[in-house]
Amino acid sequence: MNKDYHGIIYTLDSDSALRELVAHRNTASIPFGGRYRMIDFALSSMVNAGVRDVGVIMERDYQSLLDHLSNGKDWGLSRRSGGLRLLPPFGLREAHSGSFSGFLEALQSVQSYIEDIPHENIVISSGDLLANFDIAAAMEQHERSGADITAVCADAAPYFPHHRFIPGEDGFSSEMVFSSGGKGEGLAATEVYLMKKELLLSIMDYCAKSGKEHFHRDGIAHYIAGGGKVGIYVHEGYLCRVASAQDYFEASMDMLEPEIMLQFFPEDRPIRTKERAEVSTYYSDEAKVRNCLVADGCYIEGELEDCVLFRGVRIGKGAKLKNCVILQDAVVEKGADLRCVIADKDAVISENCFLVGSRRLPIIVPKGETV
Amino acid sequence: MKKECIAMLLAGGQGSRLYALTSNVAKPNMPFGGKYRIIDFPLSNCANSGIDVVGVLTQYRPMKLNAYVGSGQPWDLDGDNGGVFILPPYMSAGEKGNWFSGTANAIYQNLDFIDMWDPEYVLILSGDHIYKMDYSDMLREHKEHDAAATIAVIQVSMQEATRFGIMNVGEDGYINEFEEKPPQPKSDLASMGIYIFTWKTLRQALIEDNSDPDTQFDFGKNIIPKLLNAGEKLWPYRFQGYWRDVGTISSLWDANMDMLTPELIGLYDPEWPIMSRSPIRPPHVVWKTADIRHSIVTEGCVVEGSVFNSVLSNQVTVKEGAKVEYSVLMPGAVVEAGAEVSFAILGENAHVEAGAKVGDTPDGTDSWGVATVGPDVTVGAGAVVAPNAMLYENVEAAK
Repeated sequence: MNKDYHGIIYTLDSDSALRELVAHRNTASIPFGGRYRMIDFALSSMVNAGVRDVGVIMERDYQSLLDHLSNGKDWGLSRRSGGLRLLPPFGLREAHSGSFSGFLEALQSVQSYIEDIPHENIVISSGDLLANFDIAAAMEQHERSGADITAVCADAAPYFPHHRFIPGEDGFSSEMVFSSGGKGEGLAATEVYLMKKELLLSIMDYCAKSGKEHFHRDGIAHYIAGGGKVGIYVHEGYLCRVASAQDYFEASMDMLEPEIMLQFFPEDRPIRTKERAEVSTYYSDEAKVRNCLVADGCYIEGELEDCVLFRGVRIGKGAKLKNCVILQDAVVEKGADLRCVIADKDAVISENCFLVGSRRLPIIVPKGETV
Repeated sequence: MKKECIAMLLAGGQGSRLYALTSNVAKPNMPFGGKYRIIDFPLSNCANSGIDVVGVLTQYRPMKLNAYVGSGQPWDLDGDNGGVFILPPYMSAGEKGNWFSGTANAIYQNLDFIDMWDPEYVLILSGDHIYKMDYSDMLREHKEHDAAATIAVIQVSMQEATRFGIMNVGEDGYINEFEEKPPQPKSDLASMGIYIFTWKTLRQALIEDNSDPDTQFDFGKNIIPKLLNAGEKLWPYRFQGYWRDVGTISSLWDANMDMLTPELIGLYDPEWPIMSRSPIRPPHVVWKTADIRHSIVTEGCVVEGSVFNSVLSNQVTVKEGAKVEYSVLMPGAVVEAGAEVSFAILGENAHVEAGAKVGDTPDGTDSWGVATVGPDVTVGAGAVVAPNAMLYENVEAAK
């Protein structure tokens, strides 16, 4: 058990490219993969590594995140001492808008919380990454290598702006560079870090004193330039940062690839989520289902191909769905014909409705709306 | 801490008529209906009825049941002013400890536990029935009729009545006679094994029964007749709705098949959820080669083959080309490629290897029955398991 680590998860302002999915929630609480919310992945990765205390820095629109995380019971984080701490965004100053300019400001808003952390080490992650990190392995490498900071990286080429770590001859990072997207030298930062609490505070202090605004670009890069030892832990499994509705749709379809699905949900590192009382899913005589990921509590009488169904979804007789993501408790009535549709929570697609989106521009039926 | 009514759940029985399925676990811990274990039904009924103290009396192979019930959290029975309490037999100072020697004796041995809550009424439940019941409504009738005991009864056919404990009712509506499995039943009201007692009366009856040299320490055989003889008022609470005893292989299979008609018991009713402790697993996956019809499937399953008219509990695997029909697959069961499972029950983590065949469709003969593969039992590749078989041990692969 890695009792000497304290987890910090931050949730930043949601990208408007996520469209209706973030109308009532921030990215960290978007439902994903049939029964999860985005934050479950960061939280479970930490819990699976034995982290028993996690603070979640919340941004605006955190109501659904509050509902979801509650007291942390479903992640084993509801405890008398420690456990889950929810940190709303109003600690910094009274007139704060509830929205942070970036990770650094988010950290600064909870500076006193960080100072009071009783653990020696911190593991930081963002709450909107789709990855099942083996944080225990990263911790092991961190301690064995003698690094001051270990950055979790991936051999990936995100299309959006990100940071990359260039490994030096000693295995530590020699340089951190900014990429505007696409392939580049070195490894892509996932912005998951392990370091001592005192070091985190000193980087925050440096940024504050020198008027810097970017934790990664200014803080971490400056630390490397000053000769600090920043190790690179390479995450081998699936990784996706969901920045747009299209990303969301493609990541959902990725879960329908057997190799990805099976390695994403290994038995020894389960992804935990809020439990609800559910029945098993019922398939009627007319049901025809191919290549689908289906949560409990669904009632399926229609035809499904390449779909992700969340808990409590109902698919009526004769309905045909291809490449669809149907969120919890949504209803698709009989005879509806849907392609490339994301139906948000509680949405209703009426009888014989015909909706066709495309993979690049999936149709999103907003939460609670009826088509 | 004063409670109006607490529940005592008799969960110590082996369920010996389930043979291999209960050779390692107590019957209340038996997986049922995909998502559940049998004990989820009485526990959820308690929680939904507003009963927040439940004593669970365990005796036979209780380890897994204890772990499953745990703190009672899945049923919201983990409050600090009540909750669920596992009550095993125990030792007392200066005397030898005793096993529970009957249903009434099990309650007798826990008088102190019940007295702790100083209840007016005690609800006695058993852990082997599938049903949804509002015990608060039963309690209301108990109080309305000023009864010493209220016994839940269900109408059965006169033919079936010979297999049950039958309550005969007088003109005033109260029970005037109890007959255990009568060859010539006078009434069609069968006891469901669910009782509410006024605690003061039951307490006295239990103490007297325990010193009776001829007693079998049983509610049906001893306590109920004793109260009748003493002239106490016994009221029948007429239950209407789905209720099944799952004490035998065929009744367990039948009741599981009933779950394929979800409206029978009404599992989708948000007003009366049946809650369970679920393992942390992802949604189930139905891959390209799969075909699932008229079946229920639970989280963690991986389906590549054909599944018809079957119940799949969590983490069941059905490989490509395998065929499962009219069967009940308990958690972790695996059916390998090309294997056929028909009219069968596969226990937890049972493994049917490639090309094996378990069970067969009914052929109309008396010797036919549902085939059962015990928990952790492997049926070797190509082996054939006949209908009505009961496997306790592995079957070697066919040569």
